[in-house]
Amino acid sequence: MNRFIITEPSSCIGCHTCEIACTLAHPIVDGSTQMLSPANFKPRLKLLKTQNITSTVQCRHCEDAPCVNVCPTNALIYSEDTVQLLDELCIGCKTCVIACPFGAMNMEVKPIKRSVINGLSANSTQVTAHKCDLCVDREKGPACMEVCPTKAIHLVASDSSDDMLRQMHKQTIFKQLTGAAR
Amino acid sequence: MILSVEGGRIKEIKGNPDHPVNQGELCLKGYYGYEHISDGRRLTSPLIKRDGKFVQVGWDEVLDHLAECLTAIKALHGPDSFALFASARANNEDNYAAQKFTRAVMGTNNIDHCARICHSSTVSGLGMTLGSGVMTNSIPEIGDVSDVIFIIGSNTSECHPLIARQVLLAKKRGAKLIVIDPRVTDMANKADIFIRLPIGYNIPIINALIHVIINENLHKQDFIAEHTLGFDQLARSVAEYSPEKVQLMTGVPAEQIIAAARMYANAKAASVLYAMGITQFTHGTANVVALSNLAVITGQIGRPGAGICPLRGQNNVQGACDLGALPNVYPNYMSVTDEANAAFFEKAWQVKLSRKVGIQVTQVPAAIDEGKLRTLFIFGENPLMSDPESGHLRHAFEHLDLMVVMDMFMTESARRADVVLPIFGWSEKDGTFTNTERRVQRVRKAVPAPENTRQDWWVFSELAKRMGYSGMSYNGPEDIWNEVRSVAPTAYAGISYSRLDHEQGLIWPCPDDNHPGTPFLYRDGQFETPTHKAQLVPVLFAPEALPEKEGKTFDKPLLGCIAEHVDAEYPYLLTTGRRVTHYHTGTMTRKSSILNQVAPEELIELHPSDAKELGVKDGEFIRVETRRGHIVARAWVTERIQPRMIFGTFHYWEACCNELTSGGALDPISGIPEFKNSAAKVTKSSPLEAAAWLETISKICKVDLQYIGTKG
Repeated sequence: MNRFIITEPSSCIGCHTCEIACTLAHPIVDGSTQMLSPANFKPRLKLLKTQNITSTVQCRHCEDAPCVNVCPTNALIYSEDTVQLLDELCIGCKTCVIACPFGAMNMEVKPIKRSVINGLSANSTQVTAHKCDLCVDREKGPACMEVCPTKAIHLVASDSSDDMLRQMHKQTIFKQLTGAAR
Repeated sequence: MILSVEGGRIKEIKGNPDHPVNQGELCLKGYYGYEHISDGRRLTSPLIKRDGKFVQVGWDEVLDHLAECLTAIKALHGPDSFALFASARANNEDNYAAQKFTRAVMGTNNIDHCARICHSSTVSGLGMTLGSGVMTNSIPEIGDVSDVIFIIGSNTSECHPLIARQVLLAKKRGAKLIVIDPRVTDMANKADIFIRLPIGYNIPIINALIHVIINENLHKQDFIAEHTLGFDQLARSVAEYSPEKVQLMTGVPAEQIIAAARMYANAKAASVLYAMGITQFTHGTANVVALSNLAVITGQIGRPGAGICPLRGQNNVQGACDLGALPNVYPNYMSVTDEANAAFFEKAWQVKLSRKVGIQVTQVPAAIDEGKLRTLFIFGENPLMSDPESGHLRHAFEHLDLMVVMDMFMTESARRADVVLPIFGWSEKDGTFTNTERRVQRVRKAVPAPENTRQDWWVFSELAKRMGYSGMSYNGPEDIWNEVRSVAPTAYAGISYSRLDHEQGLIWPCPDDNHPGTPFLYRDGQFETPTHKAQLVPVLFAPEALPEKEGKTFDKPLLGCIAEHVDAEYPYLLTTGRRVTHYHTGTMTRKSSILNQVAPEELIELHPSDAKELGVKDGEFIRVETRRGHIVARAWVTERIQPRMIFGTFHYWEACCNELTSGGALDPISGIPEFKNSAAKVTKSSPLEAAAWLETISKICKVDLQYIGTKG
């Protein structure tokens, strides 16, 4: 089963620390993460505050991912029990953005160097798809989980989801037995 | 916090996993808010304003100049023409030096700081009822022990994220949460009972809770008989505040009030958490006293996990108060008018001291207008953005003979000063500070300070020397701290730098070296009042005018009303506060490129029905005007605010809510302004108007100055 992270709204205090950690864990400009600007502040999870819920939206690393299914260049693949985007293959067609039912896929502007003429290159920008990659290249794993002060962000993997299911089964039985309302 | 330093710069900050409060967790300001320390705009030279321009000078020159000026002013206009604003961010040692300088060298008690505009109501209120205006329990008790948490007037998740974490830990243990707030805050969304009250109606709600508790016999009669005074009056005073009557007055369903009262009273250990939503009213002291009444009659005090927790927001506002940066008390809250106290400090400091209570921060603009105050010395504070009615304060500052500002940066206030002194940042100095739970902790120098900057206490020490007072020749912060321990032994004698090296802070009172500190106060109902009993005080409220007629039937009641009401011209209520991303006037946090990306500009909360009526979409500009001034900012259209109500912050100089708040509506007891309530009018604005406004406010705040050889 694919792994993914999810935020527990009952513990989320809407502090944005996760968004910052995510951005810093994915440096865009030359590996440098200092001096963030609108050009390079690109978290892959989005914190939302509605009237009654505060939580984040991010990629679910679906098993039958609509984004993988629609990508015309196979830039989206299954790898390491996650869904990964191969930047180099992305042509920025935005079909994945439309396909994702969670709104977890964004398009982001990335600074690149384009080869212009005779080996000279120019600074340019490229718009590519952008989503949570579960920090597969990061030694300590997802950066957002690490910094969340209330530990509201959880990594769901098949072993941990078994535990979660077992808890929910117990609660269900208890509710059926006692007829207890929530 | 644990700082990783490389090449004299902070590289990374992590939480200290051994710390009992945060247990290794930090919020975004802790992790990412340190860029300002190495920002190129750090002040690196003393500056004197000549012909409207700041000129760089050396330390000797500026200190000689200041000493001369201050001596002359003291002789010409008297010691009370001088006032000092201390800093709730500077260390205990800096603040002790500041108040000693003000008292021993300048000869006046005119020292105050921003606690005046934040928790002065707590100091007055709890001082009156329990004998001491401090948090009664320690923060870890919230997460570990309390089974009911009662949050009122605190947006805990945004303003105290690590305390919110404690509340959530308590919830995981099965604790219940009651939240009382006019806005839907994140803690409100996690509450078991959320009472959404209109702005300024805290007293009727709290009195209604007490009414229910007494009616249903949930109060602790034995505790009341043995450890309190004034119950009969209190019971009589809440008789009119039935849940049904209060429902009519506030719109809050009576069932909610009843449920909350029962939940709180029946708790094994309940903690009341409160902040500005209680204190920042013309009846702030009365609000605090009402909460004290509630906690005392239910016996929810004096035990682990049971108590009253005023959440203080600045890293050392508790310390600044404790160390006497207040106009009416010496260190450790010893009244300046008491002859024995004055004699004690006269002996300790070897100088004659004034017995006259000094001036409060919020009285300063009027005092300057009247010509009574002519010199103002400010350090680590930016009153032009943090104090109410910025327009009036700017005007007042122009009339000062001398204004001195010590800061890390050229703040909006510093720009208007005559002399500016560059000082150390928090990671560049050694010392102690005291957090909201009375925990004294060490802060240690991690990086070298920019050349030419100095520590706050050193400046006072040097001025003192030049002005003929030798009692401030300290060798270092530890010297100062040891003096503090000698003049306030009941609180600090057991807290030494060497002990602090081994412990995760020590909670005062800590009277000797073997004492473990005092996490919770008033054990066994022993209060700090002269009678050692808690005083219950009747608190009455009427929205339009003080209920003086009803008050006459009580002995020394506290009366509350709301200063400004909506009318046809100003139909909105503006309430103010903070957001999690920034700290106060943004002097530090708005220099963080990281934090600035998350929250680059002000967003004023506006209800969707109002937005529709005004023709404003989410993110579009609105113009907000009160009787004091106006600002233009973007709107955040959300149901988290009530209809005909708006919310703004004081983080952004471009749209600071203090342009709009009133400096004249003060609590007569604590002197705190009614920040939480102003009548406003809101109209749709445009990008064009916003740009014009930005130009206007830039000229006002940034005051175009030419620097000679300085960075701006």
